[in-house]
Amino acid sequence: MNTPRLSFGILTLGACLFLAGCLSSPLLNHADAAGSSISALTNTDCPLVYPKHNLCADLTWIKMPQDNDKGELLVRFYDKDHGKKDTGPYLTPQEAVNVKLWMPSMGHGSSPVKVAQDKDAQGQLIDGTFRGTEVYFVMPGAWEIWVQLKQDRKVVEEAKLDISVE
Amino acid sequence: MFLKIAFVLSIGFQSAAYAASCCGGSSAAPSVLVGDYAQQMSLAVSRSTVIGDAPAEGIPVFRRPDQRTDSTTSTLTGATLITDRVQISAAIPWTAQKTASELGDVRAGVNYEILPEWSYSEWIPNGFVFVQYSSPTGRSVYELPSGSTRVSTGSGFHKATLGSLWLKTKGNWDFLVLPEIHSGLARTFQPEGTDPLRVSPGWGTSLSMGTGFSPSRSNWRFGMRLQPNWNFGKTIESTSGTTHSAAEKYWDTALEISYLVNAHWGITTAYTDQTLMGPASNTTLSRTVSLSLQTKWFR
Repeated sequence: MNTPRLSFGILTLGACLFLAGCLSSPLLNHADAAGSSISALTNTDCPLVYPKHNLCADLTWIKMPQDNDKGELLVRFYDKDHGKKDTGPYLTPQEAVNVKLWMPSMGHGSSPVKVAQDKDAQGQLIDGTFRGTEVYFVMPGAWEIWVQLKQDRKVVEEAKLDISVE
Repeated sequence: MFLKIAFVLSIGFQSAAYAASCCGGSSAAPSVLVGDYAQQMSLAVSRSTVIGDAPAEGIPVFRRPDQRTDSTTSTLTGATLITDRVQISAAIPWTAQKTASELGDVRAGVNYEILPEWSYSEWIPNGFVFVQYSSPTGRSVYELPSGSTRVSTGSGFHKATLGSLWLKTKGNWDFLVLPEIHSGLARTFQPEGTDPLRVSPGWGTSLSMGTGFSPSRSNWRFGMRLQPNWNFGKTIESTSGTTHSAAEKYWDTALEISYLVNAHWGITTAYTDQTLMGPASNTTLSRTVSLSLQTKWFR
């Protein structure tokens, strides 16, 4: 076997691999994260739609998750035809409300969100208003926030919002 | 010369395995006995920092220093001969993070020396084939409790790896190639208060290519290794229907320095970087520094 020719071949292959890798190097082709942010939730009149229940839901941040600090969000349900996002009247679904965080590209979620119907200063339940706590995104990227209506642990209807976590 | 590469094998692949444990099926090669040894044991400590994130589409984004997450993994590995050409190996990793310390995915395997070096050949390498099982003893990203900010320590799946290792030394140089494929069994996850999630991890593969140089009459070895990794996307069945995640790609680039204390003891340090080579997509990107102490017993 011709040793110099083989050595040249191996070196050439190695150089090609190296060059190909360098051209797509994350170190040479990347963006730097700006401030920690989560993209704004939609501004439409009915951000989350539940056709079976004729309901809309709006989702707002009470406290955005930041780095290792968990966040809180508020979900409010209202009639699709007669209710308004900012003024209500807010309606409490018969089913249990659940919030699920999901990262579709990676195929995993995050630690579970705790959801409970919100209460006023007197401890009375507030109609159609649910507070999600322990909201945490395990990594930056494109996420989905699913708001589900569940009965007997089965999802009856659900809707999602797409957000970007940086 | 063969003594030096024998000591580097146990650490070189460990550091890459933990750099992306949240995502996809990062694999680790088994501990392989090379040369005239009957048993070996090593303790490796790796410090890994997640530097950035490569999305499924678009360019990677490097995190701010305060967003980067660190973890330290200590791994005890060992291998022993069963017969002249059959070996068994095992690895027990332990990961420490800011908030907790946990067991990682324990591994066990069988290695077979398919091409022994009974006589000198200028070109025929020393070859091994191996099968390795990885048990989901670590905590995967699907098993995080509510409010947890922990980094996952395991893949979450029962996984099998099939691969081969080919070694050759020529003068002061050594070369190694390690191709492998791996796959995991589908599993249903249901942390408290959540919907059941059935995840099929899919297949993956990697090809490790390394070379090292050992100055004459020296106990030192300086090596480098390149390892592209590719994993098919996962299939996820949930109450929302069936979805598929994107494929995962990343490259490990490693630099290694080994020192042979004597015929029984060796020390290796390695730096592994997932940001140098690409393309990378749908994965986190880490940099890892490792230190390993290894001891061996002759046949």
